[in-house]
Amino acid sequence: MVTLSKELMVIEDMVLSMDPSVTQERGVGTPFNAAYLPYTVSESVAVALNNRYTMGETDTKFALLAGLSTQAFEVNTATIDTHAIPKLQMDTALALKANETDVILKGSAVSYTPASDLDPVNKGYADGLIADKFLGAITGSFIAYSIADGTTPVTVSVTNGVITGIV
Amino acid sequence: MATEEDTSETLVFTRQIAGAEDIAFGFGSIAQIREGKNVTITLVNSSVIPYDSTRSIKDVIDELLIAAQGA
Repeated sequence: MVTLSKELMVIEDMVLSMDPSVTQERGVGTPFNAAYLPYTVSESVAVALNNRYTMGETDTKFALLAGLSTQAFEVNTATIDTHAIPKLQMDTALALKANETDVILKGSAVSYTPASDLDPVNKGYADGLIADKFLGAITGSFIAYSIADGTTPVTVSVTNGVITGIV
Repeated sequence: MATEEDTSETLVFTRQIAGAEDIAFGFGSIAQIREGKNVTITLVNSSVIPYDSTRSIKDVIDELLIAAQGA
C-alpha cells in the first residue's frame, strides 16, 4: 500500500527566480516571482510596484522630474519652514515688504535726492546740507541764547559767513 | 503466464519544486476534488501573501499609492 501525505507548500518547495525558465526533470517550467503574483485581475505585483515607482512621470497628480509646461504644480498652504508655498502665500508675504526701488539701501553707492518733504534722505545728502549751513559762507540771522544766563534770546546776524551783529 | 509477483511495479516519486505553472493564481476561490471530496480552494494572489505580520503585499502596494497621492 502506498500512502501519500499532503504537506503544505513552503518556500523550499518553490522555484524562486527571475530567470525566464527553469529546467527540471519533468521539463522546462517557469520560476515563480512577482511577475506572476496577481495584484489585481489585470496587474501583477511586479507591474503594480513598477507603476508606483514611475507614476511621477505619467500621472498628473505627481510632480514631473523635468516639469510640465502645460500644467502648474499646486501645493497646499505651507505651515512649516520646509514646505513649498503656493503663489498666493508668497505674494501675500512679499506685499509686506518694500520694493527695492522705493527704499534707500544701506551701503548703497547710489545717492538719492528727495523730491518731496516726506521723502527720506541718506547720510551723504544730510551731511551736504549741514556743510552748506554751517561751514559755508552763509548769510542770514538766527536766534541764539545769551552765554550769561542761557535763556535770554539774542539775534545773531551773519553776512557771507561773517557775524555782523548780536542784538 | 504472469504471476502475481510479475504484476507488481515500483512507483518512483520524484520531487519537483513548484514553478509558476504549479500555482493556481487568481482571485476568489475554485473547487477541487481532494481525497474524493469537493473542497473550496483559495486562489493565490498578493492579498493572501504576507508582507509583514499585519499586512499583505497588496495592502502595502495600496498604501504606496495612497501615500503618493497625499490622500
